[in-house]
Amino acid sequence: MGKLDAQGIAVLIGQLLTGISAVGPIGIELFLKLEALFHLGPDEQANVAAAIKAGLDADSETIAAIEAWKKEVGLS
Amino acid sequence: MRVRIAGAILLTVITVACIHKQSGPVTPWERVNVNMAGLAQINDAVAKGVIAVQQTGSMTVQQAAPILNYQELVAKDHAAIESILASGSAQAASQAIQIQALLNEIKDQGSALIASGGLGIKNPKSQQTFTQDLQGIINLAGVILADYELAKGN
Repeated sequence: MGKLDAQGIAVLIGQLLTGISAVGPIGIELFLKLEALFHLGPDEQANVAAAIKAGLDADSETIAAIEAWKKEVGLS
Repeated sequence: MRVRIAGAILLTVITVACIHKQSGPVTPWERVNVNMAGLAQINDAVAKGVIAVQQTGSMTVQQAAPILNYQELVAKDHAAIESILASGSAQAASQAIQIQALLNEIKDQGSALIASGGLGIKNPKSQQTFTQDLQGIINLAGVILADYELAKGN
């Protein structure tokens, strides 16, 4: 992201606060996960490995949640 | 809940543009992998949101099923891509066609789902909200596809 001036930062903070107030716990959890994900350390290999692990963990959670829902509603 | 999901995508759009690195520039390879992880986490948040909406009775099983089927496809395609990426950038470059095909499947299936109107939301305003959620996933797949092209030097 390019450098922001004071007005740009104020707008960004405003957008973030609006978003956080609108999304509730699920959105905040996602926001924090993405914030952690997007702050990279100096080592490329470690960054890539951490990103791949985070992605695969999310995939597993998604598939498990959907499969559990399908069982619950009788679709599987 | 619908507002939450839409808001989550809003946050994502804001956040995706801001990958920070402690030292040095973010490499194209890092950008591909971080955005891939972001896609999976957004997909997970939206899927859980749809399930929650359905469980409150605001959406029928028949309405939720096509959305969740798509999100399961995204998760499985994403996992398949990750297994290729995990083998390293050289290996990933040699399997470019497969990666591109999986990302295009995510985009195309999502676009088809939106176009079908099969989201099945009773409230037209809410339907637009879920459409936007799916559009966010489709758009991010497009960003990753572009990043991937850059990373492999095309």
